[in-house]
Amino acid sequence: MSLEDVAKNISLLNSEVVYRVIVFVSIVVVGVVISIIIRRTFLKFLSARTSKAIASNVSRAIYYVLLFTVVVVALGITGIDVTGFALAGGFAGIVIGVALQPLLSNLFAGLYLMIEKTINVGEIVEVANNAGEVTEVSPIFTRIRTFDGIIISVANTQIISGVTKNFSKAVARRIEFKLSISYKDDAEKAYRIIKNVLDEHPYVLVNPAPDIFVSNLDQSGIEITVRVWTPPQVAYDTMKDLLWRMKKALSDAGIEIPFPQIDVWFRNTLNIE
Amino acid sequence: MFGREIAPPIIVGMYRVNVDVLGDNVLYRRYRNEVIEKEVITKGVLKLLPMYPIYYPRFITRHILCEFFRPIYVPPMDNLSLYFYLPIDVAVYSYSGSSFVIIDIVPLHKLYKYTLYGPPSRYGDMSGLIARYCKTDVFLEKPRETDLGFCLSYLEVRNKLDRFAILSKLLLDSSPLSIFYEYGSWRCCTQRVIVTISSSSTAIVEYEKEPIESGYRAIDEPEEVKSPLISFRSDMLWGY
Repeated sequence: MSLEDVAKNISLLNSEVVYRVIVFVSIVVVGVVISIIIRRTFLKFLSARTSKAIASNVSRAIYYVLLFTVVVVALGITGIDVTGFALAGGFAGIVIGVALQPLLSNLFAGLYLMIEKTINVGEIVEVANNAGEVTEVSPIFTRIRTFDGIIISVANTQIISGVTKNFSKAVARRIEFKLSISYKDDAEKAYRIIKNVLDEHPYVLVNPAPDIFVSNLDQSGIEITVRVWTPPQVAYDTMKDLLWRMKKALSDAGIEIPFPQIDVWFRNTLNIE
Repeated sequence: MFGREIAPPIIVGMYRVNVDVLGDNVLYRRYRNEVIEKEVITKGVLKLLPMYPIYYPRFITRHILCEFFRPIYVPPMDNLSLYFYLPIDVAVYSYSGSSFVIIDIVPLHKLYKYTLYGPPSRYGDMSGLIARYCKTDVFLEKPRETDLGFCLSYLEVRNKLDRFAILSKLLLDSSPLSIFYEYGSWRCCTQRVIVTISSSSTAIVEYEKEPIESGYRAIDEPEEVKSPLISFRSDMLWGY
């Protein structure tokens, strides 16, 4: 083979490779665009029929499957033998399965959460001592915006295996206050004032009835515990509002809310100069 | 007056409602003791209509639990019919063609309370529910006058048990429940409500479609309480 023939073959080979690369890239680009359209269509379709979390995750899974299919088809069309993927895929599956075991357990925990609806987007929950609003339930993590605005990601297995408080699932919430009045004040009068505040507050439920009782005879005053039930949507607002109203009503009635104090008695009369 | 376009200032309970038309635009104001409590700018026709007492202070539930001042003892396998007052508020509707929006709720009662009907926790798919609480009076004869803030309702209690049933409260669902008003007056009513006591702790509440007073018009139902398409009934699962 002459040098000219070798150069010609390289040139032909190069043009063939370039052609294949162009075909591969074209198929991948078209495939990705179609996958995105299908993903969005599924997202819209499922969002109208099921929860946002399920819609988002199912459409995302479909998108990744389509992407994988596009790449395999593109490789096949460009002449690369993809039958080896089956064998390689088997081994890769085992390796990846072992490597991604924690990830997969989170994935299945996420699917379980979505199906069981243990927690949903928008609900107020407390997981691993983090309370806040659920912003996303993804296959691996659940994201919670805490009340101070921080987004935290909790692994789904942690939610499945740990204790999760879901405040939004409650039909009614009970909130508790502890108030103190001084020993010199009339506890019955305080009771009447507190009851009046509770009776006039719209979000304090009539039934279960509020509970007001002396819970402790403290060093500096009489401790009164107030327990009320409220609709969960307004529990936080009610908690803020009620404590303020009770304090104001007691102060207006001249009832003293004591602070810690110690009376010191002297055996002998003190001479103050 | 219900149904009429608000033109001159009008007194509704403790409030004065004022509408200023400025060109095509409308400035709505609600006063209490000459202090503006609500102010809205809109465009369209404003009307006052009776409304379920579930929107003030804010919408939490569409259920209303009426507790009767006097309990009703219904003999076994027998019926008992009576009238009762259902508390209402007044809604200010803004209309533009067939579209409407409620721009304000004029509260007509001094005290608004909620209650829990049923248990606070869930039993499978069943749970208690939060309901707007009101105490109401019942009458064996149709009352001649109805005060602003109340609409007249007719209740038929059917006892299917072989012993006396005591009805002391009634859980109403604002969705199948309808309010009808007399154009140009403050009078309003609901449809006939039938309570069938089916066991010692459960009852079925059914709602007819026609008003108990002829010639009354139905209010335009807000989105939260749109009438159901098929079943005009609700259940009382946690006692009556």
